Amino acid sequence: MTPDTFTRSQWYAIGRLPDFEGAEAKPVRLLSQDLTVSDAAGVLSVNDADGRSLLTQIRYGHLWTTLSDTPRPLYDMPEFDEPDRRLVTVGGVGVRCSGLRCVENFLDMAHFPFVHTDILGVEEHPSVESYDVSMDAEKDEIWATKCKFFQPMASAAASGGQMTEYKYRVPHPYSTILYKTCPIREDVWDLVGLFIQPVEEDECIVHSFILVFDEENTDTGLLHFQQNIFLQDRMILENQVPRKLPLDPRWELPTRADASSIAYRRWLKANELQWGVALFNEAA
Amino acid sequence: MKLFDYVLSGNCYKIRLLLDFLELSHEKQAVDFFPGREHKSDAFLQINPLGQIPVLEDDGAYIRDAQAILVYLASRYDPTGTWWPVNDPSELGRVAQWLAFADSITSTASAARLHDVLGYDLDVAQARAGAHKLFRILDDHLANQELQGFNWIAGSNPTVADVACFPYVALAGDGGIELFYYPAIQRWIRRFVNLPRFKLMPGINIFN
Amino acid sequence: MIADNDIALWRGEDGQIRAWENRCPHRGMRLSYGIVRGNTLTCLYHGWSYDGAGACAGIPAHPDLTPPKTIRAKAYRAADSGGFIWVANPGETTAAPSIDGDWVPNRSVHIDQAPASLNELADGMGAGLMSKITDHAAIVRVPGVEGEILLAFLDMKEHGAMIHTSVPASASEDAAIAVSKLSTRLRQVFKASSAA
Repeated sequence: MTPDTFTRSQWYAIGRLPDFEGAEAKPVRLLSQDLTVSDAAGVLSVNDADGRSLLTQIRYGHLWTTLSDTPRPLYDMPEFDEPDRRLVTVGGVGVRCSGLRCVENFLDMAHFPFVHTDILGVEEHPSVESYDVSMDAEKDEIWATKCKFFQPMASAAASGGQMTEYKYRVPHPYSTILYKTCPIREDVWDLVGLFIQPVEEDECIVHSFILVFDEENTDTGLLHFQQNIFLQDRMILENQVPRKLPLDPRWELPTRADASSIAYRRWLKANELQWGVALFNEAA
Repeated sequence: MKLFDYVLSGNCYKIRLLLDFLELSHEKQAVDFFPGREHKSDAFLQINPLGQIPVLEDDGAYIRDAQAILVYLASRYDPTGTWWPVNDPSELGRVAQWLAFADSITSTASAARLHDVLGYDLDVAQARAGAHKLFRILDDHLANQELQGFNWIAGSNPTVADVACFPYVALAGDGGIELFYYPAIQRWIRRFVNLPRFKLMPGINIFN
Repeated sequence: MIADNDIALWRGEDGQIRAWENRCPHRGMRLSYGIVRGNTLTCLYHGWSYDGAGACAGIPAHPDLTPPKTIRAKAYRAADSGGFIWVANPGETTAAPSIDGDWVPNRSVHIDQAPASLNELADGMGAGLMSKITDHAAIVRVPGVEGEILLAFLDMKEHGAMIHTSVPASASEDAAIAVSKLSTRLRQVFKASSAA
């Protein structure tokens, strides 16, 4: 299947800047297409298999490109310009599933006690209280707010359990950002997010980042914390059947805790997204 | 005692497991193996010229190579003398033999995992095929051990041979290597994860 | 894996064997990664638990919710007999074979390519068929090996095949190991043409 218009019109992160230092036609795969990245004296360029030069931009610590000549603008994250924040780019991790599944898993709090046991959740506190899900019509993005969850070790900087407050944002079919209570500062949010590079309909590379106020941990400490968490998710993601995301509500049965996942699936459907989606008649 | 450690490394996990089994207090120094390639930095090459983790620092000396560190820890700090059974030469021979086997698992199953998870450029089909060959040998061995009443690779006790083989066998799924075909390996994994003080690493199905 | 269906097998405290579609109805997670507690199976992803009959018994995210009856794991018929676990094809109507005698499981070995028939499998093992149980299972004897062997195979098409053996509970350790080695040797007999 060729990518639908909504999928094709997006910008995609394809790696961190240091990944392309001195690159000479380094192969990269995006939306089932072979691309190459080259570094000419610090200027990065991306070409498709026919040698056509693609649009690029450098933002949020990553190189972004698009197959479209008239892409939707890349969403804003003003927090990247705030002083004193630390940015850790975690590196691309390959996962054998649709990148859409990765977004949905990231939005999900109910799995914390079982997949991230004793880090992001404990089995004694599995309950997910109601939270708000809304659409920002102007920016065409999803927000889940007033999410609260009991966490024994919400971040590398946390000491001891706490009720952590979360906000989730989905500004792009393959990006999602978590805003969470900062354990050491009031009135600010720490950010953790995924920039997903869809490789095939059922295969992706997940580039994640952390943008936090943290005076205690080394960058490597933050990196290990995040990579450990993501590898816990990866085993789940690689064992969900089917590997593409089903949008038909008859196929996978949600509950109230899945309100953000329901909104996400509806939003994808409303935008007529088809690439990476499992069709109901494939279920049998 | 200090372990130069990477959280996603199966070879570092071997050392963490044995340190916990033997209840040895230690500190860990996080190495940015990926994406920073810190193990290839000039500073780290001073510690290990091979540019590999894990490295253990103990008593002012650096010990490199996962299997060597296991042997060192067990022979120095295991009062029971079972993890590295020096008093039983024939068992010791079997343990040493399976330590070498563990190295082959690293060059196949671990390579496939590095390809699939961290995007390493290598021949993944060859790595997976090599791992399947080894897993058949291990599955046959473990099944025959069971038929003789032995639960572990070298006999009736877990040894460093089990610790050395466990991580990259149990993590094989990360590299697209299905353990479904190896029922005796699955039963061994289930016994291993039930050892006292065992800690789980992401990517392992405990078959419970 | 039965006829292209991925199956999760589990046994509760009650000893009963169960074979379910390997997929949690909630978010599609393979139930074979789940955890058995008592007589329930708990999915690894969100901790949804299922009772022995396949009905959802608990959703931890909503502790006060009684799970709707519509949430069920799809079950296949499964039974224990002759030291083997038998799972019925979706269309199969007959009961699992009941095999006389006291058998203990010996080996389950993966081979690259399924034998075309029981006869081919027995030939490959150097065994003589004593009595056929199904098209895929029989009691055989191998010259030089003491006692009978219960032999079965499961054709998994492009995934190769599994060979299962049981021996009588009275079999000696030597006989058990001899049978295990015979099973292992089948890997050389039923090799893929482009052997991996």
